[in-house]
Amino acid sequence: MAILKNLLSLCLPAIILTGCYSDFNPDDYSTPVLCINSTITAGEPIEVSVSRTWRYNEPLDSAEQEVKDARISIYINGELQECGYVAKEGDEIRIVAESTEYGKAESSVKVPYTVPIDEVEFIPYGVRILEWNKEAYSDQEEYSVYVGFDFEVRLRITDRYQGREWFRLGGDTYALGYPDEDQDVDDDIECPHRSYAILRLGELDYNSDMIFKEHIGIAESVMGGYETLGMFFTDRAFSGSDYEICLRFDGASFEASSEEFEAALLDCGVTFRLMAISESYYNRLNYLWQKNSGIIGDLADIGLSDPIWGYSNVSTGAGVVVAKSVTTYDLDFHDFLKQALEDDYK
Amino acid sequence: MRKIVLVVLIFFFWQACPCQKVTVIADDTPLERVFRSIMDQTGKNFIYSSDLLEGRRVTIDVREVRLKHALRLIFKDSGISFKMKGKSILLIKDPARENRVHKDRIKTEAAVSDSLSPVMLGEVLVESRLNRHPVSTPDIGAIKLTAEDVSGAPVLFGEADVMKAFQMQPGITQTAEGMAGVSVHGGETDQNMVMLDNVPLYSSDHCMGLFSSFNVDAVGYMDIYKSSVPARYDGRLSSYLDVRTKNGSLERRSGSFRLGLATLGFSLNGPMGKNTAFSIAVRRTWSEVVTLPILGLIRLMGEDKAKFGYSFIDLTGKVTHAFNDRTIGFVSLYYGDDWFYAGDRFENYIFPSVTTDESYDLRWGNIIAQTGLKREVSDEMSGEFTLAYSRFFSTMKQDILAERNGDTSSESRQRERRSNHIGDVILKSDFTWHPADSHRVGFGIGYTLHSFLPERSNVFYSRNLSTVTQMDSTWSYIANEANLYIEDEWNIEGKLAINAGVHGSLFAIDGKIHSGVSPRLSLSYNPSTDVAFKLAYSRSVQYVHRLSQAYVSLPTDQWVPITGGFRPQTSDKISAGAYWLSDDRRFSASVEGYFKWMNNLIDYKDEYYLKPPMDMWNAMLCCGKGSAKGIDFKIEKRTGNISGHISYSLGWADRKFAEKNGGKAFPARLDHRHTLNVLANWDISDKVRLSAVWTGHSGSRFTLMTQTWTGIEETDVGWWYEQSALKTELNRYSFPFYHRLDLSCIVKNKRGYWNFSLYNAYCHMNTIGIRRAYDDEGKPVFQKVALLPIIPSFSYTWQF
Repeated sequence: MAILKNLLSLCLPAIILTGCYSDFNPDDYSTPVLCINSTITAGEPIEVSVSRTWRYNEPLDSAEQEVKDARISIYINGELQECGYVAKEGDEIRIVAESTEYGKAESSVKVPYTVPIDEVEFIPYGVRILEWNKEAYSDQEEYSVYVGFDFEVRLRITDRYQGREWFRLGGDTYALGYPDEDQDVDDDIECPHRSYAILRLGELDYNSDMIFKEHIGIAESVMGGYETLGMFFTDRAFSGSDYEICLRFDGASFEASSEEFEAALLDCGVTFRLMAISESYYNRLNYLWQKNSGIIGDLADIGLSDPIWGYSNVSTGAGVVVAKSVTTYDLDFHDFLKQALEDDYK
Repeated sequence: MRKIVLVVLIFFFWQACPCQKVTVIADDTPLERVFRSIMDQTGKNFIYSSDLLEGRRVTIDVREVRLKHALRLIFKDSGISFKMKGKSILLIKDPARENRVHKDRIKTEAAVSDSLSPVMLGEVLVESRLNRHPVSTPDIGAIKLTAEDVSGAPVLFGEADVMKAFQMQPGITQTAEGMAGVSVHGGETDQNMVMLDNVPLYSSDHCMGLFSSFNVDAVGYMDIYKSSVPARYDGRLSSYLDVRTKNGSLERRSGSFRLGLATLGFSLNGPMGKNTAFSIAVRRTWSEVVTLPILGLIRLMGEDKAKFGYSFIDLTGKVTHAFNDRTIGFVSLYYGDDWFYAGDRFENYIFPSVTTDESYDLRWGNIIAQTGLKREVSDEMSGEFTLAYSRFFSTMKQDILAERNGDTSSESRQRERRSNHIGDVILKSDFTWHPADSHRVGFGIGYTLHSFLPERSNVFYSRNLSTVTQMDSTWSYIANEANLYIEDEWNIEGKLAINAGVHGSLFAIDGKIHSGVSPRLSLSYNPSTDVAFKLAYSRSVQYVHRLSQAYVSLPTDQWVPITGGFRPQTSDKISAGAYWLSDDRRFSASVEGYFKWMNNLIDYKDEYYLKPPMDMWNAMLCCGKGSAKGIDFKIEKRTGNISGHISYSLGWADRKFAEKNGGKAFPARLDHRHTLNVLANWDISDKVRLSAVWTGHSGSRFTLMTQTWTGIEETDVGWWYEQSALKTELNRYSFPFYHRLDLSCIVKNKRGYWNFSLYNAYCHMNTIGIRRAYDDEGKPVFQKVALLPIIPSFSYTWQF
């Protein structure tokens, strides 16, 4: 619930009820500039995209945004490199792009060092088995299950480097998934049963670890505008030492259906990705969050705050060059689910 | 040496000789306006009970006659007699006449006459320095507004507003459409010192700035200084607004009840015993009358347990006691707060047995409590001793509780409370010494204990009986501030007036002591009684500033002191002016020019929002310079059935920060090149008054970013290929010319008066922002954002 949004909507009904928007074309002169975008990942070849800016109300398709005559130079630790260079942790990378029509642009970034996940602890609780066809489980008939649960995950990491570092935490679930969408389904005829298993993580409780709320100001804390994933943070709280990141998920669920129970249905889990990211990447994510979920983005839209521009670390102000080093960890839920079902059956 | 002293004494004596002549021309004019004309000419104040005049009017035409003679003619057969006492003219009902007319009221009236003395004393001691017309003072940019001026102006939502009356003056503009915030001569909102009875009020508005904190029923008058500033005031760079509350009457009880579209208000004042008077005024929104039935309907229609509401309230109370004819004590209290609450109770859509109960609560406002003693030590000297506490507070709370099957062991609960406040304990003494009618010396000393709590957070979190509590209350500061000032206002032979003074201050915080010396000088030369030329210099020092991310007032605004490597903000202002007052005192004109340099200005850095809020706020701020220059013209018709003024301001304001706009200078957001205000009041009869205000100014500055670029792909956060705006020079673009007409009509009847108002009468939708959007066909377009259309409103005030 967004309290300040409520306040805004209550105190500024005039905006909604009586305020108005009218299209117009400002007579403000501006020229396009070069834009460099690159997401550099340690262990992968460097890819750079060069385009140009355009006037907002005169949109270009992606082909028109391309700069055909752009010349790109990539310098690694001060030395010019050939295409296909694979980035390494600690590389100082400078990208220079030039175009006869749009001028020159350049940007630099350092590839951060990986921070490994040393240990993971999984703590489920509040397990609710809402739909459990015990007959099917025992008689090998149609089987379906719906398990609701909350859980906590503690990721222990060791921050070996002094100085400020920036991180991002991501995750993907894996499970059997839905059946092939292309298969015809006709409700009038008996269709063959299709197995599926889905894992949903529910809602991350950002209060589970204060490091996730570093970028959230007092206004956003109360307005609750942080529902969008934004697990990026710094090591202000643990620079140079061990730290246990706590993730608490509310309302996770596992749902499966099959003609018969198969242990493989329970093969599911989460792949956590801990990314050490460059400062530019952190700033980019923070900018996106502030613009889309922060209060200043809302206020700027109705003329009550300064407008915010896109964060860029490119000399022209357009584009962003970021770097990351990724560590992954697979957290399997199979044993937990199996145990939960057996406990419930008993 | 003795000769010099003798010469000076003779000079003072000569200056003190009362031999004033006046010209009074009035044609069925209200007595109050005639008094104002006399005050302008003589510098004397009229002291009378508020109900004494009761709509009396006068017709007179005398030129260059002695003041006493003019007064005799004015009060002939009026039942009012007058007494001249020093710089004051005391008006009382004539007991002899009353005896003839109503014998049975002799005792009552005699008692009233006796009791007038302390009322007069009270009025004398709190008299505004700005009663005289600018022609006869050395002040530049000083304005006095009365409650009548405020009440008579067009209003928004039926709410007469002190700050919006302030906005009609030249060189002053509103910070956002319809809002009470002001910018003076290109300054920032937090550079204006808003005071209630000479005590700082940190948040001067309600409802995000839509209404000011002052209930006009409680206001007596307000003094505004925007160019030359008396040495008594310091602490802000742009202006000083001192709102003075009404004293209660010692004669009889009176009051009012007012109902407007947004609020209802009640005021009462009167005697409490022989020498004690009180006044109280309360104002509150009545939005619940609308919201509660709506919520009731919502609940009837479904199972939703939603609740929400908003209200604000302010209370002003004052008790004044006359210990004797030279000493008055008072206790006063101001309390104002805004309250917003919301909540909901709903079932989880996946697990119907799980219910979530959310509640949110925001409360923010001000408290001022003060007590004081005013004493006339002698006919020449008076003093005022004040002990005050001023506090701004903001508290935001949320409580979220999720329960499963009524099992408290499986509940999860999150309670969060965030608050910020600033509290000042103020102790000060102010003295005024009149060695002669033409000579006034003011001096004083003060101490303020500031306590700042920019943010305190308290998070309580529990789940399945495990509890996590996280607190951060590290942002608190104590600061000590000491002040000392002296000023001397000297009128030499009626031709030359000087006000010279200095204000010194010390501000100790974090082991550092900052000091500030603010010299002030105003010179006025009167080649004739109707014309004045003035020159002034003033320096101001500011130790606290407000952090706000928006142009409107929010409960998240934080007042913070200068800490770390920041130094006190300072401004130096040179101003000059010429003033003219017509022979009959009906018309006046003025032109005032100014040039202001500001140093150590504090503002957010570019992209400050990328810094984590948990960093010290200093990390988001930068230091810079600013300047403002301009000229204000004003022509005023002061009396007659049609009165009003036309003012025009030409101004420039810019800023330069090393960490903003690439270090290049840029225009301030409220750099309004041209501003034109027209105010007209037409007294159609004793019962009907029409008012119109037309405001027009160059559009505010805006950072318009027309170019766009596409960034890197972010597939897992839902912001794929976000299109971002390309940064441009700050405030390069100017919105279209802003203009608006407000109308009001006051209709009096036997019991009170109606106020009918039209805000933005010709419904010109002024641009306040530009946003990026998409049209109906999905094509990206720029859109002008406009806010307030024509808004009719009315209020009724019942007086008793």
